[in-house]
Formats: sequence, C-alpha cells, structure tokens
Amino acid sequence: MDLGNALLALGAALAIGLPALGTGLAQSKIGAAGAGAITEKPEVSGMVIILLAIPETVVILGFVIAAMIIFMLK
Amino acid sequence: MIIKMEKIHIYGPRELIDPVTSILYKMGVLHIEQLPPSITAKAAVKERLTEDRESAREKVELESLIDKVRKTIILLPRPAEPKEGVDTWFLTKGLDSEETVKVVNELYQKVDEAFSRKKELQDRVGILRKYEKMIKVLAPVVENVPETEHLEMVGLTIDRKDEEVIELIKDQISRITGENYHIFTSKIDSKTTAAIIAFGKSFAPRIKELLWEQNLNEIKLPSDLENLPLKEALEAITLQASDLPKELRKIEEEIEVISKQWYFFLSEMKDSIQAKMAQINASASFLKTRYSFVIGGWIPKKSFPALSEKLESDFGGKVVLEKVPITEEDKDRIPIHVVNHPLIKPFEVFVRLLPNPVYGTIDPTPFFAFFFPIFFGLILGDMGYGLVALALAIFLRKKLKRGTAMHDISTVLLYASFYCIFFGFLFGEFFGTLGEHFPHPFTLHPIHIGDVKLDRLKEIPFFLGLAVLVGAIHIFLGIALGVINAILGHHKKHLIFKIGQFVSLLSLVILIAILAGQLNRGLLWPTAIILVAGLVTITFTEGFIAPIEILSAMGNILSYARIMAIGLSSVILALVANELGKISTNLFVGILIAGSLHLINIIIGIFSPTIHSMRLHLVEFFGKFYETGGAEYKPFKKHGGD
Repeated sequence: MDLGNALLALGAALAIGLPALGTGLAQSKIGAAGAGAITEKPEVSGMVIILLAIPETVVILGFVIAAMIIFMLK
Repeated sequence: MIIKMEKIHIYGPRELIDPVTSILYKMGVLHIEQLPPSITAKAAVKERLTEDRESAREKVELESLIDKVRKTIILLPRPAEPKEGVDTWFLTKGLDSEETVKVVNELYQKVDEAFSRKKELQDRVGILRKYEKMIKVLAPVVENVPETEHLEMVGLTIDRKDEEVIELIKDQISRITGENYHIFTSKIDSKTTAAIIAFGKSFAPRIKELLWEQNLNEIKLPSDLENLPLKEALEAITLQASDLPKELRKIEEEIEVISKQWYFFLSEMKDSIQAKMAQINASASFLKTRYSFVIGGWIPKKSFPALSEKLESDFGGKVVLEKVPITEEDKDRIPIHVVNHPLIKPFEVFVRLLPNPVYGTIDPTPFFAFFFPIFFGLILGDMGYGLVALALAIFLRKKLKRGTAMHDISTVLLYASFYCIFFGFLFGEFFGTLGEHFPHPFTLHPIHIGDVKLDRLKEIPFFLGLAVLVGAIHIFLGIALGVINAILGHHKKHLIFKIGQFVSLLSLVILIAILAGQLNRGLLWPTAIILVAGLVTITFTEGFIAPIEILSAMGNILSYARIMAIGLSSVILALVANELGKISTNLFVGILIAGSLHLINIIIGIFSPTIHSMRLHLVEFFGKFYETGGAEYKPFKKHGGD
C-alpha cells in the first residue's frame, strides 16, 4: 500500500472516529439529563430515547464520508 | 386520520339539565368547553353556572359516600359468579338520600368490624403458632409436675450452643434451694432447648434474679396469659390454638355471605356516584339562567346526528342541539380526535410521543405504519432474527393486556418481523451466513437483481446508495405532505415556502447527480437556475435562514445512511458469532459461543432498528410537515381504572 492510500485510510478512520467521540460526549450529557427527566416524569422516556439517538447523525455522516474515502482506495 | 369536529351548543330548560347531562355522559362523545366570556356578555341574562351551594353540598356528600363504598368494596372478596339484575333502588331514592347513606354506613361498619375481628384473630393465630412447638415439647413435662400452691415453675429457652449454662445454673439453684428443685430439659429444634425449673415459691425472687444475671430468656407468654401459672397458660394456649381457626373460618364465611349479597350492588353504586360526580363537575362549565341552560363543546361530526336524534326523541324539541360556525379564534382549541384502522392503530403509540398535531392537518400515523416496518426490515434483514422477533412478538401479544402501550409495541414488532424475514430472504441471511450451509434446496443465497447481488457485506456502495435513495423518497414525501398541510390550512406564504423547498432540494439533488457524472451535463445550467430561483423564493418567504433549511434537508437525506450502516454492523456481528463458534473443536461449546453472540445481536438488533427507524420518522420525516399544537380530545364519559 502506497502512502496515498495509507493517508486515505487514516482520513477515513478520522472521519468516523472523531464524530464518534463527539457523539459520545453529546450522548453522555443527554443521557444524564434524560435520566433526570425520566425520574421526574416517566412519561417522557420515549422522547428521551429519541433525543439520545439524535447526535448519532454525526457518526452516520462521518460513516458516509469514511465510506466515500474507502471507495477511493486503489 | 384526524376526525372532523363540530362546534355545538345545546340549549334547554333548566329543569332538564340533569337528564341532558346524564345522556351526554352515557354517549361519551362531547368534549365540553367552557363557553367563552363573549357569549356571557352577549346574553346578559345568562350567568356562568358555577357550583352553587346545593351542588357543592351534594358533591361533598357524594365524596364521603364513594369513599366508604370504595373501602367496603376493597375489603370484600369479588364473588366468583357475577350477579344478574342488581336492584338499583338508590337511583330512584337518590344517591344522597338518607336511605342510601344509611345502607352504605351500616354495610361499611359491618364489613369493617368483621375485618378488624378477622385481623385480630389472624394475629392471635400467628402468635400461638410460635408457641406450638414449645407446647408439644413442654406439655408432657408440665403434666407430670405435681400441682401445689407452694410450687413455682419457670420456663426457659436456651440456645443449644450455650447448653453448658444449664449445668452452671443447676449448681447455683441447688445452693439457693438446698437441692430442693427439679429441672427438666428438652430439645425444641436444632437451635433451641427448653427447660422447666420447678422450685418452692419462697425461692422465686432469688432464682429469677439469678436467671436475669445469667441473661437467660424466660419464656414470654402472650400478654393476656403472662400472669397465669405456666401450666395454666400452656393449657390456655392449647385450647385457643384449636378454637381460633374455627372462629376465623366462621368470620370468613360471614364476609363471603355479605360479599355475595352486596358486592355487585356496591359496585353499581360506585359507578353511579362517579357518573353523578362527573356530571356535577362538568356542570361547572355550563351557562344557565333561572329558566334555561347552555352547554358548549365539540363532538365528532359523525356523532352529531346520533346526539341530535337522542335529544329529540328524549325531550321532544324542548332541548335544542345547534351547530356553531368555527371561527379563526377557535382553531387552536379544536380538540384532536385521531381514529385509525385497527391495523394502523398500534403505531399511534410512537406518534403520540410528539404533541398533538394541529387540527385540519394530515395524521402521520398511516405513513409511519407504512415505512416503519420497512426500515426495521431493511436494517435487521435476517430470516433467523426475524423469526425470533416474530416469536417474541406473538408471545408478548398473548401475555400483555390488549390496549396497553406494550401490547401495541409488540403488534408493531409483529409487522416489522415479517419485513425482517422478507428482507432476510432477499439478502440470503439466516443468523448471518448460516443459511449458506443449509442442504439443497433450502440453501440461502443473496438474490440477484440485475447485475447486483444483494449481499450486504460485499455490495456496500449499492446499499449505501439504496439507503440514501430511500431517505430522499421519504424526505420528499415529507415536504409534499407539508405542501398539502399548507393548502389545507390556507397558509399561502407557507405553501410558497414548501413548494420552493421541494424545488430547491430536488434541483440540488439533481445537480449533485450531474456533477457526479450520473446525469447528462447538459442539464447543469437549467438545474442551477431552478435552484437559484427556488432559493430566492424561500428567502423571500421565510428570510435568510431559509436556504440553510435546504442544507439541513440534505443532511436529513444522508442521515438515512444509518439504515445501511446499522444493518451492516448487525451482519458483521452475526458473521463474527458464526466464525467464533467454528473455532471451537467441541460442537456444543461452538454452538454455545455462537448462540450467545447471536442472542446479544438479536437484543441489539431489535432495539437499535426500532430506535433509529423511530428517530428517522419523528425527526427527519415529521420535521418536514408535522405541526404541533392541537388540544387533546377529552370526551365527557366514564374513564377506565377505578
């Protein structure tokens, strides 16, 4: 594998890895706040689960970019 | 779908207010609304019907009555056979009549006393049961001790591990009494030994002091027997232990007789009191004059003829039901009544996570019901997992009570599992690649569509494109529904924005396809011009922030890539499970390893597609058309529960 491909692979890894970290951070905060909200109002459980899934879009977009980079590998 | 509502007023003479309210309660379709002050102002003679003294007094009496009725019902066991034809004389006499109150009070007192007595006896039996073992052991010993007034007996319980203390006290008692005593010991159980010490009464204070010093437990008798001599106390306990269960059975039979006679009567009375109280509460929202009343509210359009007919037949024109034109101010207050086909209804549980939609817009439940199982199937897409999900759904539907949220969720899982099996067949997946090893003709392979083999592991670009295509269809459908909502709501500006949004997004997608070489480059400039025109239109209607909406919508479409991404992770985990299972040389260990990993994958596989499909709908799809703010439809009727 040449240097170009190696850099592409590294780019793909970063494209999904960094958003995953960001999502993790966001979810940790939403999770903590959500747990507090559910304790007060159990009927908001469904909405909290949805809110928890929202930051995952960032990883999905990262995944799309990573996949596009991987397709460029020769 | 969101049911069309009619705004109505009911007018009638004051003396008919109770029967009319009762009919409304029984029909259970009217969403009562406090008539706005404007009506009161227009009709100067009318005054708001607040709870006057009479109804306030009645309410207090009914509250006290229902409290006693509830307490009595809770105490009574429900008879096995329901009683037919309960005599509801309390309705003619009046729920707050002296006779009704007297019967309820007497019943309450009778049942309460019977239960207090029962509780007392049960406690007593419980206490005596503790002495049962001890009596069995000590009774023969006590029998043999001669009964004289100069003799004192003390019973002791000693831990068997401390038995040596008996020898110690024997020496000391011997010294105190001058060897004039008897001690009998016997094992009660594996942990305890009982001892009876008989001695002259004159030595009692010193011996009791000794026992206290040695920290020995004198047998504690029930408080009412503790002053009796040990022998008499034990006899009394034996006697009571045989008599009390008989007495207890007698009381239980007495309670059963009361229950058979009164349970359904009281239950009927409780329903009637609840109805009456609901009517009193509701009447606070009515308007009345000295001679007439007006009730205002909303009913489903299709229920109007039935209510009109009922009022006409019961009151022969004395009570008038009138449709009132819906004004612009009313629009935010129109209650939202959603009714869907039974097949679609279970999906409402997910849609209800959001606030009510605005009246006159499209109910998204049918769209949710159509797309949700498809997304779930596309993500999980495995025949084996689908069959497990199907079995789980059938099991849960049998176990759970119909009408509950969990029952609805299990019905949704049932539909989703069919799609999962279907897509699993297309992808050739059965617990991952296990289907490939099935004997012919049951061998599973991914289906070919044209040049593409539907293998999720190998055809990643195809599935990524497919997921984004599904996303594009979903998002464009959402914007189209937004256009329809704008037309239904007669919002011209919003309609122009929605059309502009649709056109801009479509031209942006086409532009990307042209730049990616998928479409003819000749379309580049016309598409770019349309895009600019669309962007200008939406900027004029919704301001400079509007073009960002287009970028956000593009993000929404790409977000559907999760359908493929999560599906791929599920396939890989299934593959890992099978490969790890293969490593073991022992067949059973291999099956255990693969089975455990598949189990984890199934749990994730059912949870994750549900969350993500739900999110794609509630966030991406609904965001394009769903407007919230409708009031909840709360018909005046008997509610479930108590």
